[in-house]
Parts: sequence; structure tokens; C-alpha cells
Amino acid sequence: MCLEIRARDATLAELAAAEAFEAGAEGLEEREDPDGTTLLLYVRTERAAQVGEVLQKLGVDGIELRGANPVVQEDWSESWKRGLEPINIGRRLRIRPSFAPAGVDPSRQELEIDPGQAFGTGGHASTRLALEWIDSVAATLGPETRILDVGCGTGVLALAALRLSDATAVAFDLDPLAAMAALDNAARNGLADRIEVFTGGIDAVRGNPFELVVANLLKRELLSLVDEIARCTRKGGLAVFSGLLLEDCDSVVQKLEAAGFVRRGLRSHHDGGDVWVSLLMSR
Amino acid sequence: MAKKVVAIVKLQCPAGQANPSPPVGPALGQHGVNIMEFCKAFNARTQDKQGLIIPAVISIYADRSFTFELKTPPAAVLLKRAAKIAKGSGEPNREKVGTVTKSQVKEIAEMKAPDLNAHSVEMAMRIIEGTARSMGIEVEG
Repeated sequence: MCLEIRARDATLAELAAAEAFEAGAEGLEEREDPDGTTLLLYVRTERAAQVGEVLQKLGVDGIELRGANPVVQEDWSESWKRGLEPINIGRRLRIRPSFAPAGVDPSRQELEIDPGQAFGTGGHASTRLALEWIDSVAATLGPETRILDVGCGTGVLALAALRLSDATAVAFDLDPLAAMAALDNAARNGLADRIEVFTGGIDAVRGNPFELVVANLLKRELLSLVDEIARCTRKGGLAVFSGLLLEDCDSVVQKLEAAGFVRRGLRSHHDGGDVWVSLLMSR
Repeated sequence: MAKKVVAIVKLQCPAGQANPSPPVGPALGQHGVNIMEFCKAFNARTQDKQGLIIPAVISIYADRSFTFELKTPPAAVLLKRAAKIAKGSGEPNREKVGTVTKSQVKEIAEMKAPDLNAHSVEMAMRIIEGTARSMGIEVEG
């Protein structure tokens, strides 16, 4: 059963929750709004009356039991997957979740990526636009090419470049969970021997500059890294910058040009009210 | 990565025991979040807090990825545990159901400090004392 409790403020909501858990509630969802908090308390049917009684007896002004509704039975461990379909990107790439069947189109190379605790499943315009650039330049990447993925999330950008070429890559993210996801995805896609992943910042990237740098970062993050990204990009090398909104584009391009990058192309995609932009630049 | 938050969900579950049934399933499933991945991560991060109810704030991004932050257990739960009582008072102004010491309040305030909008331990203690009063728990000393 789901008991709906309305509390006037956060303190009363906390009190109601504590009493409900004591009486046998198994978990709750909390929804705040300017006028108070609604608690959706989940309770086994046989305990619902007991929990409801405890809350009624509490008799505290500002806590109200608003209703009790049966919970629709559903296999949530499966139903969350609804709507998660393979995505074709560019001419040669296909990203699919692990539970979707492998594609039959031999002209498309597949990457298996599941949504989890790292960004970059191909489901967002900023990722798709960057992947389209990668698809379009992949033919120029040879076994000597080194790719750098800045703030790699799931590693989808670097792994797509590896899937479409014989290159090697370095990928990093400040978030250890993202770096772990990138490593897992590399192994799952049989690309672990061509990528090095670490948790940390761009200051830890040493050695020769890279032929291709990919960065799907929001404007604020990107602007703080422009000089370091320039340092890591070989002269004549390419860079893909994604995650930018159209209105931010001019100021970012200006900063990138000041750091020695030259604009080669722009892709954009309308997503709801936003227009996302991805830039291909050379240095 | 260019993460754009599309929803924030707040849940409370027993430490180490999240599973795809409610509240996790319906609350996260409607946003297409990988339920098993969340349960696995929540249980791993709370396994040393068995017996406590742990609030989690989950940020869901446009591509169905997510991150989550764990909060400290509710003050009411910690106060009941400190006062060794089963439930709060129905009439907190008249009926007192237990007592906690100042040092217990301080301990709870310090534990809750990261989640309280308080600039000092003293202010955090005043918030905890307020919760105690609303439950009919007296603060000694």
C-alpha cells in the first residue's frame, strides 16, 4: 500500500517519517513544494492499518494522512528499460543498451553502453553531436593516432573513436564512478587494451600532445580548461567540443581561437527549448 | 560531461536493503533510471549503516544517467534511538515521552551538520532541540 502523508514543514515530515518507519513502513518518497512536504510511504498491506493508526494517533497539528492507495504491481527491474532503444549515429556507428539485440546492419559498428552513474549513453544531443563528428573524422585516425577524452563520463566518445579506427586513447574524469564506468565499458566492448583511463584532472595528462581531443563539457567547465586542452592538442590536430548551448557558442569560440584553435565546423540540434552545439576545431 | 539535470528524486530506504519494489521502482523507473544499478550502489554505500533509514537525493540527467548523494539519518530517528523510546508524543507540549542529554544532542547535531542549514554546531543543536521538543523529548542540562 501507499500512504500519502502531508506535512506542513520539513521537521514535521521528518517526524512523521520516523514514526512510520518505526511502525513498519518499508521506504518512502519525499516531494517538497513551497507549502510543505508530501510523503509517499510504502507499507506491506498487512501493516498499512497499523502505520496509518500510528500516524493518526500522533495527533500532531500539521501532519495529515491524506489517503491509502494500492500499489500497482509491476516488475520495475525490467520496466525501466522501456523506451531505451539502440541509436544509429552518423554513417557507421550504433550505440545499444546491453539488453537490446545486436544489430544486423554490417555497415554499423556497435558500442554497448547502459545508463548508469556516468553521463554519456548517446541519449543526449550533446553526446550524439560529438559522436557524429567522431564518425565523420574516424577515417583519418590510424594506429598511430592518440585520442584524449576530457571528462569522459561513460567513455562513450573515446570508445566510439576506437571502435571506428585503430587508434589508442587516454580518458579521464574527476568522478571516480565515471572513470570506473569507462573502464567497465572498455572491457565490455573489447577495447580495454587500447585505452588508458584514470580518475583525475587534465593537469595529470603528460607526454606528447594528442591528434584528437574530445570534450563534452558545459561552458563553465570548458572555459576553465581551454589552455590546458590547447596544451594537450598537437599542432594540426583536431578537437571536438560539445555540450555547448547556442547562446554560449560565440564567447566559447572566441576563447578557443585565442588559445590557437581554428573553427572547422559546427553541428547543432534542437532539444526541447535548447539548441545544443558541437564544434570541430583544429589547432 | 555536459550533464543536464531533468529530475531530482528524494527517497528514504533502510541501509543496505534497496530493491526494485516501491519506493525505488516507481520513483526512479518513471524516469527510466537503471534500477538495479541504483540499488547495487545504494546498498554498497550504506552496508555499514545497517538498521538505519538513509535518505538519498538522486539527480537524473537527460540521458537517463544518474548520480546520488546520501544524507544523514533523520534527526527524529536519531533522537528516538538516543532517548531509547519507540515513538514520539502525541501531545508534545503536555506529554513528555523521554529525555536526551545535551551531549547526545551535540553528537546528533555534529552528525547531521552536513545536511542542516546551520553555520555552527550551536545552531545545529538548536535545530535538533526543536525537533526533540516537537516529539515530546526533553533535553536535560
